[in-house]
Amino acid sequence: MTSTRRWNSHSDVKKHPDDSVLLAYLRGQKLETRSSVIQHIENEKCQVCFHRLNELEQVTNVLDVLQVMHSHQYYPELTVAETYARIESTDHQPISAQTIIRDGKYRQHPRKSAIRWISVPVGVGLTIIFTAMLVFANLSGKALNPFSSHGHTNPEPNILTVVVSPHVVPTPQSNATATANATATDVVSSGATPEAQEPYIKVCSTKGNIAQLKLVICGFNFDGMHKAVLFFYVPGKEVFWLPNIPVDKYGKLHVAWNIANCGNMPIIIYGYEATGSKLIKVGLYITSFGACIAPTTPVVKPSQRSPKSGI
Amino acid sequence: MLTDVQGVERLREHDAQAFRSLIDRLQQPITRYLHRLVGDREVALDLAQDTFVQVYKEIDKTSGEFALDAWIYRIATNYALRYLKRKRLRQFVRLEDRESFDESLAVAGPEDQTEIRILVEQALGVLKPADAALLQLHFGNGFTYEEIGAVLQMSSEAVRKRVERSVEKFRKAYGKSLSPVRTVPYNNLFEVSSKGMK
Repeated sequence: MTSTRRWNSHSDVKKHPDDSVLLAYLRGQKLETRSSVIQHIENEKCQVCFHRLNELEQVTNVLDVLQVMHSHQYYPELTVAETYARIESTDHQPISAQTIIRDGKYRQHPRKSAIRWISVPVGVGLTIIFTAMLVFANLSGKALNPFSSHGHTNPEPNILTVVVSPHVVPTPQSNATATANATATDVVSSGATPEAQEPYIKVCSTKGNIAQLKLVICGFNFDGMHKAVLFFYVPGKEVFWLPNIPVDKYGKLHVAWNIANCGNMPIIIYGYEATGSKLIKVGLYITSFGACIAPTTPVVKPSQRSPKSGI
Repeated sequence: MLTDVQGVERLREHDAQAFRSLIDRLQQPITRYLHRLVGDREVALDLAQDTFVQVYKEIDKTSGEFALDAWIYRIATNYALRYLKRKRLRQFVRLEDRESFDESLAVAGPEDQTEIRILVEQALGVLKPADAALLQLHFGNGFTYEEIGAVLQMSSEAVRKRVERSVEKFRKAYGKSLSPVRTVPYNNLFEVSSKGMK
């Protein structure tokens, strides 16, 4: 099947459209010479062209099966929240985690890791500061954070750094943390946090949870009845993400992460919610949880599409 | 493929609602297209997400009216081709490479066409990724030559010739995949069994 026949209007010997023109005609595509082609094929009833069109039609009929295949292929929905989360994370780490896992050479220029935010000196500094805060809290006999019975939070705009001590000093608030939601309500209603009406996430593990190394994350002031996404950055392992976390009508969410031998303790957790009227982005740094202490020089490898463990 | 001026403007302003609508509209077709190109569902999902991330990041760098969908397909195509290049895959799926054969590509659709679909997959696997992308866009996605030209930044005349060449390559590859299964002649069988009985 060679394209030897050329459309040549002034030739008096052979004047047939070439294969690409015939194919375009067959497929109903725009052609500058369409009227001439129609004249040649339909009016002059060119048998050579009919034969060639028939051959082309056979092969295109086979290729048309691609459209049928397309219409039967479905994929999990990609939420805007996940995409926003990915956009955010691409500023700090490679996008195609799954791809990189399969083929480490996929990316030409590996992107910066989010964990590089915490450089060695900053990490060491933070550790010293929070250790000092922890010691001070234990010595003074009360928690630094009046809203958390289990640890100390350092509120920044939408980003909290948390140390959850294994030795919790009993306080009236700690008794109130029978459930994460109950505590959260107390916190919000107190109105003492500067971001009281702003969305945020916090650790709301109970004493029992901490003993079991169950990291419970609660979110507040998200758009009610929408879906959120949480990203868990685990140093030395992968970035896990939990999509489609339901937010209740009060704007709260609640997830638990089981830590196994301190091996999968996340040090940064990001929460996103973009299904509502506005994009919500909140972050939470964790420097220790129970007996687990975050390493000061974390190395984060690319993420998995879905969490494999921990939840 | 329309030029949605208002939609583009809203995307340039990073309007969450506009971005959501875009993903709702294009996620499935883009992922299908990528799945066909790279032959791996998970990679396709990742590349689709990369595509939308790129759209979000680059949309405000664009100017004037332009074909949004074509631009997005171009990004997706570039991601897929780059991925394939890096993987040194010059095919979608190859029969002799069963590890990379994604059965979900062939089984989707009416059962009576399964064999044809497998053969089509095999034949497409022989083509260069760029040729296969062209056929996908035209036959799978129903893009016109003009639209493909917008995606691949070629004139529609160049697309016309390229499609014809790709169809011809496909036809040859498909013809090969249709070659009859080798059978052992009856006489040979008899001979073998006779020898065996001796």
